[in-house]
Amino acid sequence: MRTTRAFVVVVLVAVSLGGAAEAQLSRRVALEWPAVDGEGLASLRLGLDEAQAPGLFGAPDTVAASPIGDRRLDYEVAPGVRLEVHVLAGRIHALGLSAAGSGPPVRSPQTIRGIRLGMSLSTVAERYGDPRDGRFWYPEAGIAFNVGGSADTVESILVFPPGTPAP
Amino acid sequence: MPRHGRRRAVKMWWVAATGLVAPALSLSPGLSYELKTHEQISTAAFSRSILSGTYLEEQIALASPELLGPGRLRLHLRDWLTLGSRREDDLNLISWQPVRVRHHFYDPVHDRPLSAPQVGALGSRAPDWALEDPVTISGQEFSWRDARRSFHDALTAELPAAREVELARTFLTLGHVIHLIQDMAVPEHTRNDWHAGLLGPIFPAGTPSIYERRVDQRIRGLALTGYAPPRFDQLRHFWSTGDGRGLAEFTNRNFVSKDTVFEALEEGAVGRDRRTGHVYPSPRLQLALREDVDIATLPDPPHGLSGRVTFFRRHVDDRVTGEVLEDRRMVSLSLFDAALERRGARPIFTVNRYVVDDAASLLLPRAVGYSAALLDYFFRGRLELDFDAEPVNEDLSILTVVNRSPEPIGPGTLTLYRDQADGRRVPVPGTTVELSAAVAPDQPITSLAVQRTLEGQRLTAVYRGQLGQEAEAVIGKVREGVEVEQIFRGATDWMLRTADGAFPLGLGTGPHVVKWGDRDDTLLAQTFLSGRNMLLQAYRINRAEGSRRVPLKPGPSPLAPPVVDLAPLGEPVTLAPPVDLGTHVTYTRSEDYAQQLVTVRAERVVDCDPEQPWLCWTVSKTVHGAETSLPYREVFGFTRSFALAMDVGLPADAPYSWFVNDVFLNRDGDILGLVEVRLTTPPATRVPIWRYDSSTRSVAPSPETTSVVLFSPSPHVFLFVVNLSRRQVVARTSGEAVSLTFRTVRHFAAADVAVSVVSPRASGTNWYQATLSGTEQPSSGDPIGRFESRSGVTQWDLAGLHRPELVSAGFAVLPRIVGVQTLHPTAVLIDRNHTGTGFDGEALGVVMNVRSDFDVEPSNVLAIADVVRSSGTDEGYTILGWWDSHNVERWRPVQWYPLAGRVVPLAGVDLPTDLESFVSLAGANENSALLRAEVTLQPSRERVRTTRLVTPSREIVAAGDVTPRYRLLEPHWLYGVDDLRFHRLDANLTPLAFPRPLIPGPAPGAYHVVGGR
Repeated sequence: MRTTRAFVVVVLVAVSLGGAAEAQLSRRVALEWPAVDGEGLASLRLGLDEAQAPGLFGAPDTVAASPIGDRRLDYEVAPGVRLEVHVLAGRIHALGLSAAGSGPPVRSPQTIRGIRLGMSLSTVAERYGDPRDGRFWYPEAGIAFNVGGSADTVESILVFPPGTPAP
Repeated sequence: MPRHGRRRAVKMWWVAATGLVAPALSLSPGLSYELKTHEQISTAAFSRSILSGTYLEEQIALASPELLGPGRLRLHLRDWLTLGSRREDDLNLISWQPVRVRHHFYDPVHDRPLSAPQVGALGSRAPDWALEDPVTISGQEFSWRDARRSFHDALTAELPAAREVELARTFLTLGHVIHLIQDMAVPEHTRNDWHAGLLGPIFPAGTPSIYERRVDQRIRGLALTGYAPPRFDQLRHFWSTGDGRGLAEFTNRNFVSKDTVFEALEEGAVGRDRRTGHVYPSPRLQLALREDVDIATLPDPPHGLSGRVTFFRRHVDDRVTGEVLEDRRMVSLSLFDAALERRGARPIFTVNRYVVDDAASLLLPRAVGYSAALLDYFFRGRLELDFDAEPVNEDLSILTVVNRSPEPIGPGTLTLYRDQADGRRVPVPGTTVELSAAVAPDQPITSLAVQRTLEGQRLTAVYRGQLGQEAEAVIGKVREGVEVEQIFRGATDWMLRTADGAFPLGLGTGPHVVKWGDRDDTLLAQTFLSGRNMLLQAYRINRAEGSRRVPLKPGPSPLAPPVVDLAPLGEPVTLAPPVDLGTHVTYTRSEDYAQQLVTVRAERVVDCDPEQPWLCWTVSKTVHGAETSLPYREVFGFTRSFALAMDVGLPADAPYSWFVNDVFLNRDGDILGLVEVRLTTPPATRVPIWRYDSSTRSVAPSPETTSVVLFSPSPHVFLFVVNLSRRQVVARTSGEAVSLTFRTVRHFAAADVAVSVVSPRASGTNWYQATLSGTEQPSSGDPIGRFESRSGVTQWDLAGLHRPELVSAGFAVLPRIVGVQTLHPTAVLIDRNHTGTGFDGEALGVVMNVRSDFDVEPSNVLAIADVVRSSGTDEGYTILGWWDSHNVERWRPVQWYPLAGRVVPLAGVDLPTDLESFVSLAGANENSALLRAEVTLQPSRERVRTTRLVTPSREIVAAGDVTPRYRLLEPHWLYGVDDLRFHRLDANLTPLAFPRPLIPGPAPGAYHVVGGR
C-alpha cells in the first residue's frame, strides 16, 4: 500500500509556440531602435505597464533585484547583449542595455547624442558632460552610462525619467 | 645643368643681385614709364589678374606665395613679377642685349620698331621682343617664350628646389613681358618718339618725356584701376589687332607725343614723326574743340605764370569697349604761340602736365588692364584630372584628363608625372599622350588605366603644345596627393590635426560634435539642446578647396595662440519649429486574440485506512476525455491616419517616433539630417487567463493575466534626408502616401485537468485543480482531445513603404511566421515518485504532445537594418538589408542614390545562413562599405567576429573586428588611425607609404581626406 499526502494532479500547458518565435524576433530587432534619452529604448517607453515587455519579448530570462525599481526583467536580445526592464509599481521605470563579454556588440542602438555601446567614455564626456562624482549619470537628460562599474568604453546605457537621482 | 640653363642661371643671378642697385644701373629716367610707375602698374595688374585668386593654389598646388628664386632671393611671387617689370629697362653690359629699351617701341601704324632716318630699325618691335615671335632673339631671355619654358620647367623639374626657382623665374620673366605692354600705354613708345633724355641739352637720343616724368611724380595719386582686362585670342593682339583694339593702336590713335604733335593750327592737322617723316593719321586736330583757360583757374597752376592757355580736345575712342570718351585734353598751345602767330610763325603745340594728367587717367588703367589680361592669358589653360574605378580590375583606376581651358588644345603632348616621397618628380611610365588633333573645351583629352595607388599621390599633368592660337603653350595641373586631417576635441578647444601640427579651431568646447563637411574647407558643429533638439552651425575655413594649408588668425586675446581662420557659413539651424516630412501614413493594426481552454476530465477512486485516514491508495484511474471551450475572444485594433513631422515637442504617446541618425554639411553649405521614423507600439492591454474553477466546476477568469501588445513591426522604418537649413525633405525611402496594414492572430490555448476523486469510504465526489510546474516529457498515447492554436500574421500590406528602386532591389517586408498550429493533447499516466504534488510513486498527469504546422512561404525580401551616408557628391547612402526566413539569414548592403532613383548592389556578406548572425555598417564611401559581422557558432555559442569590406564586385574579409582602428574615407581610402597610413583593400590590409602621417595625437575624432583634386 502506498500512502499519499495529496491526490490531485493538474496539468496546465500554455501553448504559444508561434508567440515565442515572434518574441525572439522582437528581441532581435529591439537593437535597431534608438535609445531616446529620458524616453525609451528598444521600442519600449518609460511609464508603460510592465506587461508591455513580456508582451513584446516573452517571458524574461531572469528576474532580479533593481537598484532603482521593484525588480528587473532581463532579456538577452543578442548574444552578450542584455535588455533590462526596471519595474516600479507595475510600470516600466527605467530601461537599460548592457553588453557583456569580449568587445563591443556588433549592433547597438545609439542615443540621441550618438552614443553606442562600445564607444569611448571620453566621447560620452564630450557629448553629455564630464562625469559627476565619477559617475556618468545625467539626470537632466534621463540617461546614464556604465552604472554598474567602470570601464574605458560604454558597457551599458540606462534610460530613466529625467530628474531621477543616481541611486 | 643644360647649357642654356647655366647661362640663364648666371643671368638670373645678375638680375637678382642688381635688384638692390636698380636705380643706379637703370637707364631711366627717360626711356619709358619710370621704375616706380612700372612697379605700381605691375602690382595693380597682379591684383587685377587671375593670380590674385586661387588659381595657382588650385591648378598647380602652390603651397606658398613666397618663392626662393634666382639669386637665392625669397620673394612673394607678386614681387618677382614687379622685379621683372623694373628690370626690363636695365642696362646690362654683360648681355648680348645690353640696351633692352631699344626694343620697347612699336608704331602700329607703320608696323615698325624704334627707327632712325637712313638707319631704319634700331631694335625689335616691342611685341616681337616680348614674345620672341616669330623668331628667337639672341640675348633676349625674358620673353613670353622664356616664360613658357620656365613654367614648363617649374612643372617638370625633378627636384623641388629647381621647380621653385623656375616658378620664380616664370614670374620674373612675365614681369619683363608685361613691361612691354605697359610701355604701349606711353604715346612716345607708339609714335617712335625718342625720349632717352641723355646728354642734354642736345639730347641725341631724344628729349625726356614729360608724360613719363609727370606720371612717375604723381603715380601714387593716380587712378590705376577701372579698366577691365580685355580678352584676345592671339598674343600679338594685345599690342595690335589691325582693327584698333591693341593697346599700341589705342595709344597711337588717341594721343600725341612730345615730338609728334601737330605742326599746323589747321582743321584736320595730324602729327608727324619729325625724324623719319612718317605721318600719323590720328589723332586729328579739331579746331572746334578748342578750350581757352585762365591759368589761374587750373589746378595747381604753375608758379609765376598768368594769362590764358589753349587746349585742344578730342574724343577718345576705345574699340575694345566701344566707348567714346569725349572732350579729353589732347594737346595745348605753347605760351609763346601768341607771339609766334604775330610774327607769322607756326604755333608750337606742346604736351603739358594738364594734358598728361588727362591722358594718364585713361592710359594707366589700360596699362593695368592689358597687363592683367596678359597674365590671365598666360594662365588661361586648365586641365582636370578625374579618377574613376576600373570596372574589372579593382587595383586599377581610370584616369581621365579633361580640357577645362576656354580654348581647344592640341596638337601637343600630355605627360603625367608623380612626386616621390622625397619630392622628386618623375614621369609616370606609359602616360605620355601625343595629341594629333584639337580637343574642344570641356572634352576629355585622354583616359588611361593606371595603378589605383596613383590616386593618393601627388600627380602633375603637363601639356605642351597648341592652345587656341598659341603654338607653344604650357598647361600644368598639379593634383595634390591626398592627405588626411582630423578634428578632435582638445582640453579647451576643438582642434584641427594635420601632418604639420595641431591648431585650435577657436570654437571652444561648447559644441558637442564637430565634423567635416562635404567640402574640404567646411565644418559642421553640433550642439545638443534639450530632448531631440540641437543647434547646428556650419563654418568655412578660409582656404581653397583641396588646399591642405591651415590658415591662422590671431587668437581671441593677445596671449591666446592663433586659431584657424574660419567663419560661420550661413545662419545657425535648430530643429524647431516642426519640419513637415511630407509623408502621410494610414496605419491599420489589429490582433485577433482568443483563449481556448481544454479541460481534461479524469476520475480517480481511492480508498483510505479507516484507522489512519491520511493513508490512502488508488483503487482505479480513468481518463474520460477532453472538452474544448472558447471562454474569451476579442479583436483589438485601431486605424490611425497621421502626417509625419520632425517635431521636438512630439508627445510621448504619438503613433510614431523620430530620431536624427546623423547630420551632414553638403557642398552647397546646407545642413542635412538623416532622419529615421518608426511606428510606436501602443500600451498593452491586460486580459485575464481563464481557468477551470474547481469550486464552481466551471471555466472562469483567474487572477492571472496576460497582455495583448499591438506591436509595430520595427522593419517599418522610414528614412528621410532632410535639408535642415531649408527645412525641406530631400529624399525618402517611402512614397508620400503610405498605407500599412498589419493584422495578427493569437489564439492562446491552455489546458486544465479536472480530476474527480471518489472515495468509497467518503460520501460525494471532490473536484480539484492545481498547477503543475516544471517540464514534463510528452509521451505517446491515445488522443483524448483536439484543438487548434493559431498565432502569427494574417495580413501585412505595405503600400508605399519603399520607393520603387528599393522594392526592385529586394526591399519589401520582413516575413514572419504566419500559420496554424494544430496541437494534439494526449493523456498519459506519469509515474512520478516525488512528494507534495501527487501520489507517491504514482500520479495522474496530462501533457500536451504538440505538433505544429506552419504554412508560411519562404520569401527573400529585405528589411532596412542599418544605414550610413556614403557619398556627399551625389547624396548616396549605403543601406544594409537583412532577411530572416525559416532560419535562413542573409545580409545585403546596397548603395542608394535617391536623387537619381538608383540602387547599386554591393557584394553580399557571405556568412553561414543557418547560424545566428549580426552585421552592422562601420562606414561607407562611394565605392565600398565597411561592415562588422558576428556569427554565433552552435552548439558552443562561441561568437566569431570578422570585418568585411565590400565593393560592388567583391568581399574582402579580415579576421576580428578591426573597425576601431580604421576609417573608410572618401573616395576609397581605408585609413589606419594608429599607423596613420592608408591601407590597401586586401585581406591583409597592406599598408601603403602615404599619406604624410599626422602629428601624434588622439585617435578618436573626425577624419577626412583632403586634396586629390
